[in-house]
Amino acid sequence: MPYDWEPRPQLHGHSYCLHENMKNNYRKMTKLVLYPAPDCGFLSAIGAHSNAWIFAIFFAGILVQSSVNAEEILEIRIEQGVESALPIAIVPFDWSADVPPSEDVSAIIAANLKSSGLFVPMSVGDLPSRPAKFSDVNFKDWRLLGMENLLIGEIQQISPEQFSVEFRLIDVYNKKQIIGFRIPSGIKNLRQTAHHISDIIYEAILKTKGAFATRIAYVTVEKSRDGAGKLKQRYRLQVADSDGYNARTILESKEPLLSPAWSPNGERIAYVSFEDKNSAIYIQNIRTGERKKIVSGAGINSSPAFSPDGTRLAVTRSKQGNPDIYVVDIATGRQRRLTTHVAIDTEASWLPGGNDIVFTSDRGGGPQIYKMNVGGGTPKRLTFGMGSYNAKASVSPDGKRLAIVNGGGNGYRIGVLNLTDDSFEILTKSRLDESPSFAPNGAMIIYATMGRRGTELAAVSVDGRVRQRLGVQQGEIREPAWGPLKQ
Amino acid sequence: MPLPKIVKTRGFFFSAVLHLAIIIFLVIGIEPSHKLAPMESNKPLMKARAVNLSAIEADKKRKADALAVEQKAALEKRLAEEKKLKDEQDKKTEQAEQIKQENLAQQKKLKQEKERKEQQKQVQQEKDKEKAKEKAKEKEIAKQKAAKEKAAKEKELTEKKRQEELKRKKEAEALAAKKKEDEKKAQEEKAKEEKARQKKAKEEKARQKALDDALAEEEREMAQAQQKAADESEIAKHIRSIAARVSAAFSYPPGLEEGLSCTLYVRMIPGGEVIEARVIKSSGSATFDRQAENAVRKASPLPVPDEPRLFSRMREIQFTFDPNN
Repeated sequence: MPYDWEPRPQLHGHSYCLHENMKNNYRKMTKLVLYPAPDCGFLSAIGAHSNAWIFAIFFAGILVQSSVNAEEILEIRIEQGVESALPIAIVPFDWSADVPPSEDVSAIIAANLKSSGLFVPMSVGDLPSRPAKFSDVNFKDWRLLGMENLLIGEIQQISPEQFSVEFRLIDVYNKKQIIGFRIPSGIKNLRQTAHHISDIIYEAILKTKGAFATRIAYVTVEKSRDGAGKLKQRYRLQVADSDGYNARTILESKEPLLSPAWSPNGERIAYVSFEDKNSAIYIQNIRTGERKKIVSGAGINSSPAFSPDGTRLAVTRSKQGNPDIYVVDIATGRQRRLTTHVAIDTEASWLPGGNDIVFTSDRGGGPQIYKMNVGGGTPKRLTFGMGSYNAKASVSPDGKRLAIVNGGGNGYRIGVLNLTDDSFEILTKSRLDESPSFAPNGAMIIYATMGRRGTELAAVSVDGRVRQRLGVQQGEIREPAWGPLKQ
Repeated sequence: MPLPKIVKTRGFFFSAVLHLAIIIFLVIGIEPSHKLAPMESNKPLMKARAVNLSAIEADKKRKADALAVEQKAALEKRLAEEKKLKDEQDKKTEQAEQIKQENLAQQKKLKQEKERKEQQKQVQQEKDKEKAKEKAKEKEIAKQKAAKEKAAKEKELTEKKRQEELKRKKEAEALAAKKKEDEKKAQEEKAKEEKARQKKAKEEKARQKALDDALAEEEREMAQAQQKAADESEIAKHIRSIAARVSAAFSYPPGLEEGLSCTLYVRMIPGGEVIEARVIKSSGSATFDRQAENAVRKASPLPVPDEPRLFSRMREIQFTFDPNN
């Protein structure tokens, strides 16, 4: 259940060390010299529209205002366009290694861009040609297909363990390179490199950060029976690439693990563990595996959330009887009670700036989202007219939107509340969706959903246009948390 | 049926009549209801009636008796007539002698009368002759007198005529002079008129020319106006096509800020190929700007008019992309 805040405690945990070698690769990246833009001479006489665009005429309401004074320059207004994902052709990267690279870099890039809902990669089978170098590009072909953007690249093997990935993003209609890099990549980091290239392309075209080379954290539950037929459960705290691949376990326990939360710099994760029979909040360094118990004691200790500056945690404690929000100074361990209501107050999340939090409270009868200043004051309810169940808010990076579990007669779904105009939009369609978490670029939301074989991870673009399941997991998967952008 | 011959003897006549009657009876008696065929003669001889045969016989005997009586009376009458005729002839001879005597006396008297008349006539003729002579003399005198009078009269007439002629001549001369004067005048008038006419014609011509020029100018202006209107219409048509094409090519990704708008300067070559498309007023979103630029380039070649005069007005276009209603 999404609103399950009363887990039972148990113990046994192990921490793992995560290899972070890709970080170094970024620093070795070489920016490729831009090809000079071809003379702005005569472009091809062939019309640049493709059949794919003909349909757009149906949707393009046209209003024309014009002035045809001979002295003045003619003016034409285009008052309608089509809001649609951008076309991009991604040519499979050429490779010169003895054996094929272990990862299909261009395919990962295509999948990433597609998952954002903002790009429509051309199907590989439809590519008219497969150029690897700028000079090989026949612009006419791509223009005929309406491909505004073209990605070409090569993978060279430097040594048995080392590759060099070179790519160029090309503006087809301007016949020029938008951006190009050569990135050294260890054989095990090709996937990371592909995510990194995805981010570069995303940002080059959309002018906002991509979040492909980021990580997600979540908890998996594996159920099995031992020799004596006794049910055994294995809880694992895992960190994976944003697409769900490359999962690594950083903590494993026989007792429940809950509510992973990322530190702002992505180095640490806070979580709830019942390894001490009672719930306690830990902070663990992902890379070193070093962990520290921050909050423990009687009652519930749950729902940690790092403050934007990373110095405090907002947590839920019930040592005084009913769950309330507390703010904990990580360095000193000093706690300050924030809410005092007799109702349940939990699932705190920080707004940017670190002055306010939003949290779930049933002080109005059912769970709803409230906002309050961390210095104190009266909580203000944010969710109105959105049904009787609104919980587990995740704040967008710009602080303008909340991803919320919205419940009602039809089950639990992920919705987005726009704080600037109070508009609310349901993004998902499943029966039981929970634990939304904004991507660090605010473009997508990750959440847990009920799949055929238990819960699994899914992601949806903030406009609801694209939904997809992530990775391949075994067993149940819970409470995903999207990590920050690479620092 | 043959025509019946006219017979002088009565008996034969009667017999013929009788026979005829019988034949007619027979014909009509046999077919009493039938009419006889018309005879060829114009007038029918008679009309027959049915007769009793015995009656005919009786009639015949009666007629023969009557004939004997008649014959005796006729003889007596003839003898009387012959005696009367002899008496008349004797009387006539006596009368003729008397008349002869009378005629002789008459003829003698007539002769005497004739001689006397002859004598009388001769005297009269002499008298008439004398009288005619006298008359001729008178006539001659009268004739001479008349000739004299006539001569005088003629002379007078001639004089009068001469005078008249003179007068007429004078008048004619005066008239001619006048006519000449008039003609001269008329000529002068005419020349004047001609001059005036020419002047007027010249003026008219000038006026007409001015009018024509004005008309031509007007027509030219009208043609220009029409051309201009046609041009405007043509350009408007192409603007719509271009806008439709660029709009169809204009797409932008979801999630962009609302209310974006940018302006592009676009230059083309004949045929509509875009050779320059640059943002002159940014929307603030590089993505939006680029999509606008891409839309123009995607839509290239733009549907511009082939006519160079029209194309020259469209070779540069300023596009404003403002998809916010």
